[in-house]
Amino acid sequence: MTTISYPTLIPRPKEYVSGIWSWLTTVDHKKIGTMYGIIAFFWFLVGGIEALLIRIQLAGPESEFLTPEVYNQIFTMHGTTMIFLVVMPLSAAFFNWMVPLMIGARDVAFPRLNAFSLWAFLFGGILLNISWLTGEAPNAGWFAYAPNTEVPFNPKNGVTFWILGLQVLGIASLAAGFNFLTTIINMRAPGMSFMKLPVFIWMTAVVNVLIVLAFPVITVALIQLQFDRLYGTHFFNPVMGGDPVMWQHMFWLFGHPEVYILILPAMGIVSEVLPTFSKKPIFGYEFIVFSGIGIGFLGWFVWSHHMFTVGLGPAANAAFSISTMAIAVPTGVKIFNWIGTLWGGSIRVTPALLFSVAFIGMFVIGGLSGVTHAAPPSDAQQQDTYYVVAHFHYVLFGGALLGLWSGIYYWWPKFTGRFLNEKIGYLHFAIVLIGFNLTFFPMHWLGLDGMPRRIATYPESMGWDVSNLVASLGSFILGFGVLIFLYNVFYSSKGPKNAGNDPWDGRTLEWSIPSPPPHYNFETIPEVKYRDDFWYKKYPELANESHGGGSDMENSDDHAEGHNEPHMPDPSYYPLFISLGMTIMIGGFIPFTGHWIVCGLGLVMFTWAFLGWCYEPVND
Amino acid sequence: MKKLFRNILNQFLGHTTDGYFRVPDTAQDLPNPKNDTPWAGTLKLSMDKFNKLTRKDGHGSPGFYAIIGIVLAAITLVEFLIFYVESLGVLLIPIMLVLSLMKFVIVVAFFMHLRFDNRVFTIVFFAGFVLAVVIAIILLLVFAIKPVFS
Amino acid sequence: MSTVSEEHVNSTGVDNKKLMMWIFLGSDCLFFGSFISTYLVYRNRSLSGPYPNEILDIPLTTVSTFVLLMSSLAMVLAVSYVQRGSQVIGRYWTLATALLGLVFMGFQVYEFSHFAHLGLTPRTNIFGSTFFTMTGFHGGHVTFGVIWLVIFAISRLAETLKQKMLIVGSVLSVVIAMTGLMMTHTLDVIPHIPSIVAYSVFGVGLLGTIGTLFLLKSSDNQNIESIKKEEGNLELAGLYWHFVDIVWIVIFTVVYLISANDGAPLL
Repeated sequence: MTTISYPTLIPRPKEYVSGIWSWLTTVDHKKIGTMYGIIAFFWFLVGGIEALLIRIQLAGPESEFLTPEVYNQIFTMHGTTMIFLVVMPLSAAFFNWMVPLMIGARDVAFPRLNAFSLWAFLFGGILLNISWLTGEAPNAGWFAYAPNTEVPFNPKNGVTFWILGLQVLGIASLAAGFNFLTTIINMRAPGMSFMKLPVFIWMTAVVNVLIVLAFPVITVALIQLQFDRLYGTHFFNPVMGGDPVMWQHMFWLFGHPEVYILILPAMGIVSEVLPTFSKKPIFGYEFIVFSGIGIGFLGWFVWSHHMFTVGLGPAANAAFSISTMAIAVPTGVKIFNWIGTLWGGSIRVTPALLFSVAFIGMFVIGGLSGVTHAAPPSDAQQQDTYYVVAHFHYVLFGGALLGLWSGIYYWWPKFTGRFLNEKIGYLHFAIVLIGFNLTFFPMHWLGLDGMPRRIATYPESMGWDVSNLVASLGSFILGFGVLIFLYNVFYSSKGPKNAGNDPWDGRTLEWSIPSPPPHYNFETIPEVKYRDDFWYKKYPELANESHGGGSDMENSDDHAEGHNEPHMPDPSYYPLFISLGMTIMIGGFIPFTGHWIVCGLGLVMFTWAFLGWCYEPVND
Repeated sequence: MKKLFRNILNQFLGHTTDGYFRVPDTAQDLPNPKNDTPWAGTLKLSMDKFNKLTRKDGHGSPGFYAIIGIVLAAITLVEFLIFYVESLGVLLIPIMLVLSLMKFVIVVAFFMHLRFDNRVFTIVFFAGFVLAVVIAIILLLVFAIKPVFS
Repeated sequence: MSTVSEEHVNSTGVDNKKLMMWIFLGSDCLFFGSFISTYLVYRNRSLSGPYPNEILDIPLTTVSTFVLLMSSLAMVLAVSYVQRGSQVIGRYWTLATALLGLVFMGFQVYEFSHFAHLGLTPRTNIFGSTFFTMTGFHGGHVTFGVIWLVIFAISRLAETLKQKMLIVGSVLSVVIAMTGLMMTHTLDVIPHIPSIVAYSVFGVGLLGTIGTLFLLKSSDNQNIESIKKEEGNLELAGLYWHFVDIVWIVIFTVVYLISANDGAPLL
């Protein structure tokens, strides 16, 4: 046993210190998941306020509530915030919480790297939003098309903030991707083969493969744009031989897998919620799993459907149109499988179930408008209109966010030991659903009627007033619904901690341990024999029926000896400091007076924390 | 059918059927009967020979690696010399690509030990590599067939 | 990294860190693939300035490719010897790898500054932009690898942890200082980096050394566990190093061998 006992600059906390430092130094996936969720929800409120500002501006024609310059910044930040600071981290919160619990592990493969991802996410979001304070937030849309983002058209630092903030966030996501993939491949409980994994874990695996492969592309694109803006290169400068369309290619090569990264976790959640509340296994497990893999795979070959109106030519348009239509097939398979899960089941209505069912409905609507985009002729009319806005809000809000809310209501008892109040939950659901549809459904015909995207205002004569007003009113109803959810959280926090291990009579492993789980998760690492193994442990008679002669399931030898808790990794200060140093270093590339000094200081902190991480004692 | 595909894949990758990353789907893993491969076992025979040549069974010795290093240097020299042969013309491109692919595979398989290691590494690495190559090809095609609007 | 990963649960039997390194390399393929794709798409599009067919030096680059290949050979020999128990020989081969890597970087630095003298910088034309970013980031990867290998090689030559850390710190600062000097030499390639940055980099190296002085006190015991751990870490460094080599194989083929005769746009 190595007896390294040197004092580092900051000694590794041997025990959980209390208070805020226990949170800042934690490497426990559950605490990290909780923090992801809380921070993501804060950004949800920020992005929501940005959305309400947009809707106030657009409620009536020729409004002067916001100047066009400010309006551009607000919709850019709304999109960037919602995608990178809300939906992705909320999904990450679920990955963090549920992956080890569902595969029967005590933690992820690299707990300190996990903490690093969290802090990098926090600091990256802060870096991105500091731009508000400098008076110039990014203003070129969340997709930042060149040459609009090049210096002649965008001389201030807003886009630079956007680039660098996204780099930090990208590094956070990449690290998490490596971590979760290693965890899922390598740390499953004994007997848990791939085809016994819960569908949510499969979707998590696919999403993390997409992250790991897509984020390097956006990293390169951002580097190229940064160099164009600050160091005089010509990647997207047509005057010197570059091609602005190349930015679109690079961005959407990332951007399209990104939208599957956004939706697949919610699909995974729905695939867990529906079986539990139908008391049936998921219908067509293999089909759902392979469809998810198929979506992840095909999603790489459709990116130019965002570029049908750019002039790629009929051959390219046709090819990407076919691949885009093809990807609707596995998506449809999943929809039918979810319906098949509910069909004939013994339905138990809870807010979680309602959100999952609404997911199916809203996602189908969004998918239908998406399919109309797949044909270049109709896309030529829809591109850059509010029809597209309707489409992606239906799939992202009606899809991803409703699915995530379903997961929140489903797993809240596991996270906290308390229930979220059901009646308030139904109210939340109803108001959000009504408000959401009021807001975004009119955008379909607004778009077909010709209302362009990203306009700060519109003339009275277009006849768009009424629909826009309805949408704006709907958005406030939607916002009110979100407040109801917040109220539910606070109201329930005072309730009794009476959830117990398995409040919903669930099927997967996380329901076999106390709520909230002890910090080592499983007292005994379970040995898994079947898919939905916990269900068959509870009802062995069902096991005998469907699997023919299932014997007594024995647990593995890996259990706590006597009353000793399994040893869990010690907390560490370095993930916090290394991510802070890295963010300062990356932020130091923004050209302001003295920025290289800031960059250097960040480098020093980063190097110090890096060495500390490498050399601090690894507890045994 | 699935078993046949698996056998061929395993043999191609050089993995035996009784090890590494594998979900057991039978109660007992029976060994393959002698002539269950196509063409009465010639595939298996040549695979065995190939595996033996490339030291599938164990780790390479330093001498083995030195030989591989010489092979790599030789291929580089050939590339360099061929570069100056004008008469090849367009044929140069596929030749260079093939030679480089050989170097690539040699370094990945032997120096990076992928040949001898668990199949999961191969899957995980080549997923990224193949995707990068395919996307590069599609991108080049899109730019090649782009119409010129006059 | 913590030992949760080393507990009983290991579904495939492979080491977590090794698996993660392979996933990272798969991901890095996309990173370099994007730069290389950009280079390929932008072939024959420079409106002016030095063109590839005027400026690329095939014989020189063949030599540097050969050097990098030999460094890969040195790397695999290092890992092989360490795995066979010859720790010391393994360390020397690791140093040899790093040295050959530094020689390769020397060739790159020479090429960059030579091109700059001939009038090719990232701002000159599209060839400059794509070429320098692609090979520049590759060079960055090589440099990171060299630092990693040097720290590794030196770190076992000292008996106690204290000496090890002191040596690590000073080697790190020397390497960083060399980087700083390299940067001053290639200033005309990257005109926005003033010389103050180069010297600040050296200063960082000094700070790093001082910092490492705080990092250590007593000795550690050599035992089987820590030897196995170091073996594993060298293997990881080896994988990274070979990957950097194969990226160079691709770049050399695509940029130098196949695209060497690119010139002005065909109008």
